[in-house]
Amino acid sequence: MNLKKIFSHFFILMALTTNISFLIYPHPLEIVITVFANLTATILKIGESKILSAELLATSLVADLHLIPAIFIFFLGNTHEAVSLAYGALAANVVSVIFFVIETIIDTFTEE
Amino acid sequence: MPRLRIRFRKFRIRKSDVLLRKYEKKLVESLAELQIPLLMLDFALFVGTIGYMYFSGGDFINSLYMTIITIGTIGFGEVVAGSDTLAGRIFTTFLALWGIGIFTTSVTVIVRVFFKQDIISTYRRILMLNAIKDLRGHFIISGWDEVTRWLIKFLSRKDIETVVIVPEDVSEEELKDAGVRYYVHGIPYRDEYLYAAGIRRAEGFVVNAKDDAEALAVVSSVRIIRPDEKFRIYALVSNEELVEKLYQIGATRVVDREQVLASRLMSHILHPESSRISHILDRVAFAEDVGVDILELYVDESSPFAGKTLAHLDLGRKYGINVIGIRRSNGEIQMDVRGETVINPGDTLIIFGPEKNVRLFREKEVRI
Repeated sequence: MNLKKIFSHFFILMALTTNISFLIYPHPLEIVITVFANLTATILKIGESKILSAELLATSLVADLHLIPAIFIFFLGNTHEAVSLAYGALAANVVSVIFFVIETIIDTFTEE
Repeated sequence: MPRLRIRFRKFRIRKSDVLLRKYEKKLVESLAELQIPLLMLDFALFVGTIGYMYFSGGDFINSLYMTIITIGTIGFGEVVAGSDTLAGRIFTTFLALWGIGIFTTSVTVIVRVFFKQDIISTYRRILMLNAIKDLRGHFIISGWDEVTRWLIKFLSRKDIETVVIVPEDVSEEELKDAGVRYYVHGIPYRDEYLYAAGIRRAEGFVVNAKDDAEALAVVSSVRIIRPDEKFRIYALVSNEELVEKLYQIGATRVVDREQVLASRLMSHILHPESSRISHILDRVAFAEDVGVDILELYVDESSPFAGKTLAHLDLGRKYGINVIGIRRSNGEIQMDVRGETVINPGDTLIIFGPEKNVRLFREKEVRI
């Protein structure tokens, strides 16, 4: 079992799940955790040179660029705008998880 | 029920891109060094922001600001509500002790990564390989010494582009000083470097190896990739015994460097009274810039020159060039050529004339 894999897969999924939980219940603490989970997932994708690494990093950056403005807008009082930006981030996170599943399958077949 | 079979095919990279992909991978992987400092910074910001949000009752913007001015050693004061309490000050104390170390370490590592010579050099190599991709009809030279430097100089005078495969220890500054525009750092008999130097699109290869084994390895590797006779391989050696072997494995022309030097010196010794003419012929033979050129043209059976007389061809009037001799198929060289001299299949015409006229004749009449 690869510890680095567990760590990075954990944060990729965490980015998606915290994103969903913020959309269901827009709470200040939820959006802070979502932003930091997304940033951590992005950092863990830097320096990877696998088949879909570039796509994975791109989707994470898209999610970050939605969530960072969203957190400031949220704390400035515009919850609706923050939630709509978080929906954009959700789309990017869903694509990210799909890529991550594809890469895991490719990895499994390559290792065999 | 029919079974669905999914076949996974291995992703194939073009041979010419293998080295490029290797460098790109190296560049991306060297960015992985940023992961730990960025994660530490991310974690410190997260802990600080959440902590101050707890004391201030959810004031995110001020909490983030307070965290940054604390770990960034700016310290404008206790700007967030609740940070001036006893619990808040204990939190700030521990955040500063821990966070300042993380901040300074992270910034140092990030700056070091971007200014590391290795990353800059890898990036330059990627740019170089992409530039080589656009070359056509160039010459590849393996080896790095004074001969290579002179060769690059002579070829560039004739507007012929060159790609040099040099050992890893040759610096970019040294290559730049020598006027080398295109280069690949690597081992000249390894396929990935040969493909990266554009061997598929090149016109010829010059092997200037540091030892006999390398010369043999390079000539055979190059000939395996380019078996066509049109692709010329020239080898420069210092060992007479190696000459025949290199011809056998596919070299077009093998030059014994000591013999060439001695024969050139000999021409000066033997023609002291006509040194100026001898010098011009010498320079023409060695393709130096004297405004005149020499061309050897092999006449095969299908050639329009076969069976005709020199008067009939009238090359002097048509192109301003002269046939100064004919090497017959039996190896005999005939120098007393006249208008009525007949050209037979298998003969080689020795043509002499102004450089631009020879070039025009070559373009119009010589089939490659």
